[in-house]
Amino acid sequence: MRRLLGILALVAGLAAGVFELAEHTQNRPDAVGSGTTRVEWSVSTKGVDVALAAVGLWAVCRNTISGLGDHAPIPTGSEAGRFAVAVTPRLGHHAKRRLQGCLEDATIDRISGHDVRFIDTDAGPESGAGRGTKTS
Amino acid sequence: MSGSRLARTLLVAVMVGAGAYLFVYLYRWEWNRATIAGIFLVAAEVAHATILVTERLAQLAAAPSGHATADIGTLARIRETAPRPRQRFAWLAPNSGQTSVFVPVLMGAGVVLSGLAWIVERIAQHTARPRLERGLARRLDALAVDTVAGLVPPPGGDDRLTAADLLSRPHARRAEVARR
Repeated sequence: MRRLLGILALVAGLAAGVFELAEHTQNRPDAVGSGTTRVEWSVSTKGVDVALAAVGLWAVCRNTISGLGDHAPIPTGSEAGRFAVAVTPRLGHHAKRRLQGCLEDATIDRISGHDVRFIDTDAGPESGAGRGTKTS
Repeated sequence: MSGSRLARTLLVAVMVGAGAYLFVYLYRWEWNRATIAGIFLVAAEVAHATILVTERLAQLAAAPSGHATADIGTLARIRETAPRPRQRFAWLAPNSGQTSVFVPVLMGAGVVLSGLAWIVERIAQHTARPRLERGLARRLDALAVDTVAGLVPPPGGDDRLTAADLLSRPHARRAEVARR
């Protein structure tokens, strides 16, 4: 009896884990909102021009979101290697996750993005998608 | 700790780490990193399985002398207590001396053939026999003795037939008797 209960608990735990993982990894469409989202991220390279790397990284990752930036990434001026793009309309939760994942992923050789932040103009500054800043 | 055990421990650690990072990267939507972590996970699994298989093969290769002595008593015990093998097609054995299967078959076939023969005999009895009897009677009627005139014609009659006529043409004799 105890063995059966253990097996049932194990199966229930595995099923809950699978459903939880699916909940966190599954993509869903976001509701189209108003306003603008400002995307800021830092770019670090190895032997590649930083501005060119930022343009190439944005050109690759802009396809992960439905909204398009109206400008090419421009340096924020706050620190070296940090760029920003304004996206209209405002990005939803899942779009922010996709875009952040692409910018921080090993998308292009010798180029990596990190410290991604999303700033919604209607709601005020928002730290990047609940994950904060991180270095990849 | 042996080298094999150390390698297996490290591989297990790699598998755990790679598997954990695989799901972390999937959660972060970092597909390239997740792919790399998955490759490391599969490579560690293959290496771990290879080590296990090679160790097992080495154990089997190093053990035959010990098994040979142990198998004698075990085999003898197994053979002593083994049940008698079942002969599933005993009736096909040429030296079995039994007809356990064929006897009922032959009896059944005999009953069926006897029934068929009885039916044929009954049909023949009601069809062929009366017809043959009537035909035989017609043929024997020509040899029948004339009970009116007898075998010898009455004396004095010119138109009487001779004995040779009676024997050669009994029908003519009987027709004349009928006319009289």
